[in-house]
Amino acid sequence: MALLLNAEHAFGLEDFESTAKIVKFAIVPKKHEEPDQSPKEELMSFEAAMLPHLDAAHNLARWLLRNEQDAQDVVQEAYLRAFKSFGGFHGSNGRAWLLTIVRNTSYTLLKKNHAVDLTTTFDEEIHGSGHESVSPATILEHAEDAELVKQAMDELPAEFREILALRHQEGLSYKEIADIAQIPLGTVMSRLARARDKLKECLAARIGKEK
Amino acid sequence: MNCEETTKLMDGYLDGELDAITNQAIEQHLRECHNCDQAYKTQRSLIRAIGNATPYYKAPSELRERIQSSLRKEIAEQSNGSGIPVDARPLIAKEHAESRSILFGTSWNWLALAAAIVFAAVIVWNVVPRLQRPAADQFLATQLIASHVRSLMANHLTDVASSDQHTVKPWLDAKLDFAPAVVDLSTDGFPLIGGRLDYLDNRPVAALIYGRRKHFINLFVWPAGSNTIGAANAMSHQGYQLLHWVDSDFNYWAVSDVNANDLQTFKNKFEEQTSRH
Repeated sequence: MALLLNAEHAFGLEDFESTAKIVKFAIVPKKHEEPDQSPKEELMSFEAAMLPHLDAAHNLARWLLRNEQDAQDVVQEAYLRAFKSFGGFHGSNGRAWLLTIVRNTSYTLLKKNHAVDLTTTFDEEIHGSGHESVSPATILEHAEDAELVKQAMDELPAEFREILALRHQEGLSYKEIADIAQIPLGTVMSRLARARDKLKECLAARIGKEK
Repeated sequence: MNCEETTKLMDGYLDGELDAITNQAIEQHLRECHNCDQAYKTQRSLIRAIGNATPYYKAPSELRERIQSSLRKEIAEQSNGSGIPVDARPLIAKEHAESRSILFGTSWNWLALAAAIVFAAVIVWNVVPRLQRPAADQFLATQLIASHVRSLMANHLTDVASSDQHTVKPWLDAKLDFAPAVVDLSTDGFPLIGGRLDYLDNRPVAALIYGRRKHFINLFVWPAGSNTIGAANAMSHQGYQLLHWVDSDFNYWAVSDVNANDLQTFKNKFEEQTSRH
């Protein structure tokens, strides 16, 4: 190849036509080798890169949508979207890239369903009272109760559920969370702190009721 | 660090997301303030317990299968354009076989024609440059000397003036599509003065400038093409000395008004140093 293309320079202009043919000839076999394999090859490399993150994708969607069927539909849709734009993905963090798509697809569905809990406008009256008597030690006693934690999490607004799942369950860094949730890096810590506070309040409220 | 600041930064500290200096300031405060230390320990255990207790929703195996089959359906629809779901595997294999038959079946006479053109091209490409080379070298020599003289006349010897090869090299690398070796030869009596971009032989080239007592040597460097293989040759033109050599990567032309022996020494020292790098 290199040899033939160099020949182009040696010819000068008068041989332009034959040079063009040579170049055409030289490139044709390559063209037929690559793109024809690529849909299958691309699918294989996509699956190799993205299927390992299926659990993370499903977990995030499940927490955001609070419904198994919706979560599965969203994850399937997100994988299709991801596959279509996989050619444009050159980064090294496949998980964060996929989770961004899962998150956006989830929000599309939440908005379509007019989910009322998208943001943190949160009824402080209901969630902010009745737990003053519950000490941190008591919360800690109940904090290992999976069902209780699940119920408390599900009460939180979507942006709190998402940030808690990304940090506590996926162990993502603040930078990754900022990329996925599309918020400034500086917002991650304060939102995470508020989410944790709210989760504690919800836990305390439930513990208070049980008493 | 006071209590208020510590409380504000508590989550970042717990998550290990603060910088080292802030971390130290918080640790210092926690050692001194019992309340904050208690709050920190409680928060740490709580977050750990909550994290462990939060149910993790693993994907059911049928979701994996659903996704895989929807992806296969997607590429099948992409490649036949009909939207009819077809199992992707046979389809891909078939398409592939067809494209192969196009290449090796109907177009063989094109291949023959192309082969003939290549054959002709190889002959032309091998013979013509040999006939043209002396004239081309003369022309290039004139260009090189003109460039050398211009660099001294127009007070534009260097774009980047530095005797430090680690300054000159990155500067050139950033401006060119190749990365020439840059070495300082001051211990051999040829101090590196700087680098410059130049334009020769229809392409941008690197010019390295070396000093030799009160004289200058312009060393022009550009990637070696396949038709430039040849032994070093020296020539004298309009009273200037030119020395040309080629290594595995680059074409070198040294131009100067120093004597031929000095230029030869320069070349030897340059090669010695670059082979060491």
